[in-house]
Amino acid sequence: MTDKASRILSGVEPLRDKAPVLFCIGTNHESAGLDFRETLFLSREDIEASLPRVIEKHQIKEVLVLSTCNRLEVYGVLESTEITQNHLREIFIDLQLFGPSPKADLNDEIKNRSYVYLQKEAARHAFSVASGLDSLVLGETQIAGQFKDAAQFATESGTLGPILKRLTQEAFSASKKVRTQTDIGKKPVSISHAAIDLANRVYGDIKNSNVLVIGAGEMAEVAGKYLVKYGPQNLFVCNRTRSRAEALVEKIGIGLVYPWEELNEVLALADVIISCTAANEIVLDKACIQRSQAQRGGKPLFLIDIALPRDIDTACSSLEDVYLFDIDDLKQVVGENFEERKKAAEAGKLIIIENATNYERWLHSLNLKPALASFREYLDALALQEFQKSFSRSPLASLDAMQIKAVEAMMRSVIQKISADAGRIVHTPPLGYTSEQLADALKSLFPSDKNA
Amino acid sequence: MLNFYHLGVISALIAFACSSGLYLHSFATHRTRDIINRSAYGFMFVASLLMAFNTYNAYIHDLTHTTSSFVLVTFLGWITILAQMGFGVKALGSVVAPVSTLILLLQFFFISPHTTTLGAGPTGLLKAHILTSVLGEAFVIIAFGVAVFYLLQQRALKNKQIDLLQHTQVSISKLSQALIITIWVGFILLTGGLILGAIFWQFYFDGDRADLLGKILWAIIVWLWYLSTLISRNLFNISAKKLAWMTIAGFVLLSLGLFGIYNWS
Repeated sequence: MTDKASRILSGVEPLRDKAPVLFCIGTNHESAGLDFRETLFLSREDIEASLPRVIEKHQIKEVLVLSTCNRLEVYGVLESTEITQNHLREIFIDLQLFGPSPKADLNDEIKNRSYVYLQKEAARHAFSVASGLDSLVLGETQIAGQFKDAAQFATESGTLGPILKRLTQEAFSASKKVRTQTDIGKKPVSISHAAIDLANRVYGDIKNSNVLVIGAGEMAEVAGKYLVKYGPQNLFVCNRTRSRAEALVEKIGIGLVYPWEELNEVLALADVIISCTAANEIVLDKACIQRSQAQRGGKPLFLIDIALPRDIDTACSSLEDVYLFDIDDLKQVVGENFEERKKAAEAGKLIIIENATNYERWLHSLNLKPALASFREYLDALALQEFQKSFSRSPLASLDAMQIKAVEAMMRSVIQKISADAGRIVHTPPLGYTSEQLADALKSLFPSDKNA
Repeated sequence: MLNFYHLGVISALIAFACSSGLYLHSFATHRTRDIINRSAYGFMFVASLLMAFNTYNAYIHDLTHTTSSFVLVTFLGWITILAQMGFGVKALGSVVAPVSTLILLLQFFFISPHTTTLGAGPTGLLKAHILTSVLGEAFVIIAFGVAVFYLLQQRALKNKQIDLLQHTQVSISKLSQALIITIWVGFILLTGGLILGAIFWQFYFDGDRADLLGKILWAIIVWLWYLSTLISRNLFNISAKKLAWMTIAGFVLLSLGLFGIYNWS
């Protein structure tokens, strides 16, 4: 966080009057463990229910909520003279409290496990997230889609204003640049890829094993496509909606679809189970895994739960010969071409800093706009006032229309020149001054309502 | 010389041992499992048939010291065959076959030997006995190594220390499979060694028998331990972790036996 942002957050430096402030508050896989992230997880319906009340209570101008298995982040714009960390955390807490199933007593945990960014830092963070540089699996691609979905949802909800709109546009542009200008996108990686790499490592050769994918969403699709590379002995797909499972199998090109009612039967056939449903409740509990293990003759079983909320009861890990892994365990899987991606990420960070700087400049100009507009208004009003005064009496009253037009044009040109010079100087202030100081000075020296 | 009747008993013992080995397999795939079970059943049938013949011989020759145990083994054999044929109870064979093998082995070791009449036998038999036994012990040691490795790997997995797994290259499923196979092969070889030793002891050994009693006892204890390990896995589905611990215990038992034998000598 920049010094200025820290000073603002700590209350040392007040924000300028009514200046829009971009903020980001959230938790991710680095700041909080899976249990806490699971507690905080908000579905689209939850967000739909709680967001209007949060906006109303905190007078948020614009807001975007990004809720994935690795993070819950709120990007927003406030117009306030006082923004403190506590205030931002209150927004985060209220988002949990105002939902259909309110989660209370999270204050301390949120305080300890959340992060706050303002202005340029918030933008930098957003760009890192959209580019996959802040992901659990470095350089993963799914996050860009999730960011797009969040932006789409905010647009539909009418909470995406010009500042966040620009932020999302810049985020997608940064993500694209990072992918095209660095080697990070050379080989696609994702949580699903990491899960399969893990399964392949711990189980041995997936080629000789039966793999069951539970779910038929995006993660299941990525997992399925990647599994084809390993060529498992059998690939089973089981999903609550059978038609989606069938569509997935058709896309992948291999696999057998099992109806949801036969999940218990297919469990006994699988050596590796990858679960990634969107269910809010446990899909596989200890009892059903125990039953399937009895049928399997105690052969090792690998359960990989990449869903949030989790699909597999954590109690399953207490069973003998059953090995349960969740999203956070995938941190240890470096995956393919990790070193290459790490290097590429360093280059990607430079792109992100550049984009964040540009964004900050734009945001800055947005903050200075009212002062410059007011100055221009002042000049226009002054010119008009003086023009009317001077041309109503001699000797200027005797000028013909052509001459009046020429004088008028000259005055307009002078005003334009003064206004442009002021704008230039405010945007690039001389040493020892800040843009805000100069803008403030302009507003104080030449108030637009003075002429009126 | 070995006569026709002796060969009948030896053949039955070998058939029971083969049946035990096949019944106690636990690594077969779905495709081969049925074939292995059928083979085990076949050996059980042959062994029971031979034992019926041997019992009849023992009865007509008035060999009272063997008749009762022969009757028991024959009865058990046919009960098993009927249970599998009539009711599809395959599990019974995995207990009856090794128990019958054990009863016959005890007969070989503990009834009055024929050595005095037969004299020193072929040296190949003794060599085969030593080779098979040593190979069996080697597999017990390998199984011990695999078990230790399995437990380490398992602990790393349960504690989710995936980075610890990266350098081992051997997956837990492969280790689990290797553990079962090494125990099974070790058991087969130990059984073979015991059978060959029993034949040698019964018909050709002319040294001081008291010297070898400890060795025989330990060999049977170790064999029984591995038998119970395999039965536990096959019938009671014990976890691979318990199997690994039982293997380690078996190795300790074997080491104690060897150590005890040297001290005995």
